[in-house]
This record gives sequence, structure tokens and C-alpha cells, in this order.
Amino acid sequence: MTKREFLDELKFYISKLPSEDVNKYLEYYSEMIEDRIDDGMAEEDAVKEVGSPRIIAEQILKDNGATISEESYKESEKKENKEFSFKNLDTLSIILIIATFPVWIPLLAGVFSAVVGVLAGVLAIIISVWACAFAFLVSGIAGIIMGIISIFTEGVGVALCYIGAGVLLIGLSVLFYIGAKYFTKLCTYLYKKCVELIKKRSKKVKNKVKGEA
Amino acid sequence: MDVQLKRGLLDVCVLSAIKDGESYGYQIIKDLKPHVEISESTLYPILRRLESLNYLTVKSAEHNGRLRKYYHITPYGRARIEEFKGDWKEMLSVYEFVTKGGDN
Repeated sequence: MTKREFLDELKFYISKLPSEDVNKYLEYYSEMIEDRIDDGMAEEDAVKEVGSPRIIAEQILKDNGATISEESYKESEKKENKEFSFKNLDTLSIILIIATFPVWIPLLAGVFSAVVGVLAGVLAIIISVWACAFAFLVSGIAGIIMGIISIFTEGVGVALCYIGAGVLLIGLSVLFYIGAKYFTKLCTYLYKKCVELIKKRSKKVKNKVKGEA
Repeated sequence: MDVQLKRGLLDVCVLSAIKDGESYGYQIIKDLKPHVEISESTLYPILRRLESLNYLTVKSAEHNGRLRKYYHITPYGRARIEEFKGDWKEMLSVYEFVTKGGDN
């Protein structure tokens, strides 16, 4: 860890303190690292000897009657995992992001179309199952009507065949209706859950941005 | 060791580290190291407290193209060291009494 990284991380942890105090702490720890470097220590070693910014921050907050909140722990862990965050962007990263747009625009488009594709696919299945139920119902009724008519034109045997087929089709339509109902319920439930999850995530990101502002 | 007692001891240690002339943070830590291990995060509140008690004053001075904070002991600080010595004599006599009592 470099001195800069150490101070940035420390600043992040104690940022809830008054900025005047934060600056005093940063000056103090900066001086401690510099003095070790003047003493002939390598920057990395100097930082290591001073200690972990997180543990130091914990002590500082304790001295000031505060603690590191769970949330900032989690967020800093995210930071440590180099997760994407606008706060971490420096000029180089911005240039890289702009320079690599031929790569990430198709990727983004790909992810977007995959999501749209899955949604459209599921919607198509729902519609087709309902359509099947409806079609079986209509053809079943038609079969029964045909059967009644054919008693007079074709004879009882054929009529019974028609009516039997009609009843069978209506039965199928009921089965499809039940299936379609549950499938639709399941899909809307899953959809709602997904939306909720996305909302929660974006809320967190918003809160984080607010907290940093 | 009792936290209160240790804090009082460290206060006096830091004052003693600057009693023969001004010093700065890292130097104080190095000077105390053979006697008592003290970390940066422990030293900071001690320095602030001693400053607010007027036992020492802080002055920023340039060193190697950057600012470094130098700590000077005040007469109040020296008086605190003397007071500590007196307290310690009392403590020693109590200690002797306690250990003697233990032998019986």
C-alpha cells in the first residue's frame, strides 16, 4: 500500500468526523509515514509499520465516541474488491472507459438484448398457453355443436364422436386454463421480485452517492 | 494494567520525552520504544490532551520541504512531571505496605 492509498482509505473511514479533524488526522499520519521514509524505510514498509487504516480508523472513531458503521464496512469491502464505483474513477480510468467503448458498447447491448429476449420469451409462453386454452375451449364448443347438428345429418355414431371430441377438448382447455393461471402467477411473482431486487440495489447506490456527497 | 493508570503513565512518558527539548511524533515514539511500546493511534489523543491541558505547545516547522509538528513542553508540563514523581513516592510506600502485608 502506498502512502496515498493509506491516507485515502483512512479518510474514507473517518469521513463522518468534522473535516477539520479529518485533516488533522491525515496530516498526523502523513507525517508519521514521511518520517519513517526519511529514516530510510521504503514507502510500503513505512505504511505497513504504521498499521492498517481500518484498525487505526476504528481507534480514531472510538476516541471520538463513534464507530465504523456496518454499511461503511461493507462498502469498503466492495471497494477493496475493486467493484465498479464512480468514486474510484480517476482520469486514467475515464480515458480507458472511453477508449474501450467498441468493446463495452456491444457487451452492454448484448446484456440488454438478452434481458429483453428472456422477457419476451416468457411473455410469449404465457400468451401461447392462454391462447391454447382459449382455442381448445372454442374448438370443444364447436365440436359439441357439430355433434348436435350431426345427429340429424350423419347419424348418432358420428354425432357421439363429435360430442366426445368436444368434451375432450373442453377438458383440455380447462387443464390449460389452470396451467396458464399458475404459470402467469409464477411469472408475475418472479418479475416483481426481480424489480424489487433491482430497486433495492439502486436505492443502496443512491444512498451511497448521497452519503459521499 | 488499569486503563486510567496507564493513560496517566503515558501522559508523563510523552512529557518526559520532550522535556530536554522539542521533539516530533515519530521521534517520541522511537524514544519511548525501549521503555513503553506506544502506537501512533495511542499517541495522537495523548498529544491532543496534553495540548489542551497546556502541558505542551505545538509548532509547525518546515522539514525536508514539508511541514512537521514539533512539541514543546511548558512549565505546566514540567510541573506535571514533578507531581507524578511525588505521586509515585506515595504509590511506592503503599506498594511496600501491600506486599509486606501479603508476606504475613
